[in-house]
Amino acid sequence: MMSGYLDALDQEIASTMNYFDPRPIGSSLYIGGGTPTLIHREQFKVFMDNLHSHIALTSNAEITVEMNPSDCSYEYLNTLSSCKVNRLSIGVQSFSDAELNRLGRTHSSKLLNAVIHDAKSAGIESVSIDLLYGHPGHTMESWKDTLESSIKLRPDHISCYALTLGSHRSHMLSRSLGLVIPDDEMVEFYGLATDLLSKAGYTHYETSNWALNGHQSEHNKQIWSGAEYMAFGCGAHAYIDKRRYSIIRHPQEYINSIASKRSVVDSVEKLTGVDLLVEAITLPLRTSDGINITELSRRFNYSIMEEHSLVISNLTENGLALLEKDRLHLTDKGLFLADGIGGQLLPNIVANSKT
Amino acid sequence: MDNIRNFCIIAHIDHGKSTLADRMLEITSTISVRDMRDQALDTLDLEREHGITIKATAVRMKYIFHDARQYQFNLIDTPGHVDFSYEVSRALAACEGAVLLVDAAQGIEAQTVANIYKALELDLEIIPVVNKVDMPTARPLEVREEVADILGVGIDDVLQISGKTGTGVDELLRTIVEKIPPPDGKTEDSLRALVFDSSYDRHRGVMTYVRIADGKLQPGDRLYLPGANKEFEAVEVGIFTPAFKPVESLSAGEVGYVGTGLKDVHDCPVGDSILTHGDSASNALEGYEPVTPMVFAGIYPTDPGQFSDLRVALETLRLNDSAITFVPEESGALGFGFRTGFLGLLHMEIVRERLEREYDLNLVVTSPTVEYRVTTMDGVTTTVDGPANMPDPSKIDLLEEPWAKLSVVSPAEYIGAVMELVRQARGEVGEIEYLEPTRVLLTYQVPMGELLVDFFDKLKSSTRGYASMDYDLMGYRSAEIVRVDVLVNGDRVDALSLMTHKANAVVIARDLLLRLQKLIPRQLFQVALQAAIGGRIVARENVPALRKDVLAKCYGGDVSRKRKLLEKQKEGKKRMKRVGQVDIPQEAFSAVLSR
Repeated sequence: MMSGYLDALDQEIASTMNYFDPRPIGSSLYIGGGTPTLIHREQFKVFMDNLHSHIALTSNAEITVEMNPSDCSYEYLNTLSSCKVNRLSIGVQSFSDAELNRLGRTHSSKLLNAVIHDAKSAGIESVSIDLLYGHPGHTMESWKDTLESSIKLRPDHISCYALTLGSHRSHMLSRSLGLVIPDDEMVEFYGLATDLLSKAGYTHYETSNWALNGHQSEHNKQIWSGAEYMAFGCGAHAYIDKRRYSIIRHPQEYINSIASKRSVVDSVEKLTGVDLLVEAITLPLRTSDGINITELSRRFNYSIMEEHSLVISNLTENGLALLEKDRLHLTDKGLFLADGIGGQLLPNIVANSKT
Repeated sequence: MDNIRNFCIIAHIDHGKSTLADRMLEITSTISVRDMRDQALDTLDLEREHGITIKATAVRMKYIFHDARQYQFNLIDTPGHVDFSYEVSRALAACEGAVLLVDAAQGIEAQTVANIYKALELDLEIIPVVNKVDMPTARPLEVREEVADILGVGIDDVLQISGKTGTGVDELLRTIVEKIPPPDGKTEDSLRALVFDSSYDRHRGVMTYVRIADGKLQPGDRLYLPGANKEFEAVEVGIFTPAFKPVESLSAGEVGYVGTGLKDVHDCPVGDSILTHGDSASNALEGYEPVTPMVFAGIYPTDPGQFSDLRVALETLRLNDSAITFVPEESGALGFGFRTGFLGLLHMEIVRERLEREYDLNLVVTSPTVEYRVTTMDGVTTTVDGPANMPDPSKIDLLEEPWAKLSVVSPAEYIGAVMELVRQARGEVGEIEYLEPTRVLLTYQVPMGELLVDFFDKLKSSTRGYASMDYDLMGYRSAEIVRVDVLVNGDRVDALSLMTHKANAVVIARDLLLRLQKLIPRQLFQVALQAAIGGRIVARENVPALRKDVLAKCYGGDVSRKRKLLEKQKEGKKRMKRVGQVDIPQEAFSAVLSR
């Protein structure tokens, strides 16, 4: 199945890239969506070599791979480095073994110190770790420990994600057992991260992301700025020419479609002018750069200051946003309300155009 | 004419009137089993959903008696809810008899008692029937005794049926032939017909539902409505099957309809007579009092652009519902809308639902109020039907509120609980009458405004659902009524004001704020709520600011989902009213009613 999938993926990339003349040159590459390092490192090397033969990247392109700490052997890290991978994103989640166990993670916290060290010595320039907070039973004491342990290891980039409950059965169960941490307490966890990380020299550049100087994720910043991107493989999402494509989620169905030369596109969504405007307001709002007001009005002929002057003055008066020159950006407090604030700043035509 | 029987069915909600009517329609083959749907006489969707009859309708049936003679039955269906009790009076006036239908488990309810008195006043022959005798919880013996007592008849005169299975329905039909007298009009006399209801039809104009007292009515007749002083020509004459079915003529004693070609139901008011053009108005039949609304509320579109759509919708609705009144009003918070009058809260709810559903409007309905009578220092008396037109308290010499006669039927064990409720509602204790050893009829006098709020719900919950009530306007008495204002972030929101008695005002104000606090969703900023009476703050509550509202991850695959979510929320906000920086949901404006 795995090699069948890799073959199919290779074919998808090759045939998709053939559509483009001239071929676009990418500024970043992100290999993720779970654990790409599940495959053997030799397989990974073949896959990467093929990939580089289909895709052109700028010389300083950011190439990220997502990994589980338990997959990060020194040999594997060396292989990644030899494939020009220059950024690692490691799903650490917590530094408490009891919590890792509860979260169903197989790695132990002792491993983490070695992983970051090995990655650096293998020549990978930038290492990021993911942390999770607000899971059932999580305490402020243990969150503080995890943050302090993380800071001690000094990764270049830290993502802190609040647990988001879906409709999954175990989540419903947690909810019904009252284990879910209410939003008002989530704010305390978020506040502690904001506080400790900024003291340790990390810049809070997006709602859930912090980085040392020069280590902000270029790839994700492109997404938040509304740039286009291609994407391949099961469940991937691409954004090309104002259309958002999603690829078939189920691996076998995906492999079968490639084999029988059928399209692997699951859905296509054409973005209207209003959709584009909505994204141009809400996506940058998640970042510390915020909205460039002049740019927004130039691109969409939309004056956010005129339409929402009252909301904006309320936001600034209440310490949720700052207005600096032609930039409207949210404070730490505001970033944790970015969706609600984005909702208030949408053009009024949104409500009317959808009826 | 000897073979005509005109009757209606008096029954409480859920006592099985519509099901009995269905059985009658089946037995008389008026509606074939193939076309039969449950509650055939309830034509509005809302009637089926609420399980109630709102408008009176009628149906003609053919019944073959055991002597092989064919009888013409006209069943005039009546609404069961107290809000529509005036419609019952209309229907009764067009009949010679009434079937009194009582649930064998529930016994007689308050409204039924009220309707029995109405029927007795009109000298109708009453056929008492106990229904649902096949139910496991049925107490046919006790309930028959109760019914026999109240009517002063023997227990054997009370029939036992099951509308569901049809048991006893044939005997009931025979009894209708035997007991209810035929109409006593004269076909050779000049025409006199009573209008007992009306509806509007785009092609035939106003359709009046009539009972012919004397004479004969044919299409093309030149006719005259003495009450409205309107002339018209009968476009069509017909009977109810229950659908409209044209016939060549209607004669004395018969029930049917006349298409008038008139464009406004108010041109042929219910209770008016139809006479031949040129006849003296002194020939008119005795009508009934015009209907007047008891409850008033502001109706506003959430989208100000829908104001003229709302006007058109109300005008169209009024064509079929002469009980609605409306005049334009303006609110600082809600913009332009209409002060609308209703018969009661259920009527209000039904009108609101119809406006939203049938006319696709998003509405805000403000707290309902009764109509007060205010005499100012300069001796002028006016009616006040909303907080907005209440004069300054310093200019008021006398303020009067409407009082109602309230009757409650309840198991005797809850007498204390009911009395306590009445006391809280500022009511005056009245009489106790035992219907059965364990069931009582209680009569009180209570301010109408207190009955409006949640009296019925409280009555139901404090008597475990066993009590029923009925009320009737009895007059006005002086009262100390104050206006409670609500301030949102320091600004008075006029549409949230309500009027209430001084004695309860502070409690109501606090309660209102607690309800608003629950109804107003948390927003980006704290929302301060205050209640004021005459400029003095009597209560305050806060809706705390939202602290987290963001998805943790927003990468490639999340972007569209996030956008759609926000667009949907923005769309959802259309159902809220923005006052200053605060989004207030529609329900908040009638929060005083919510539970």
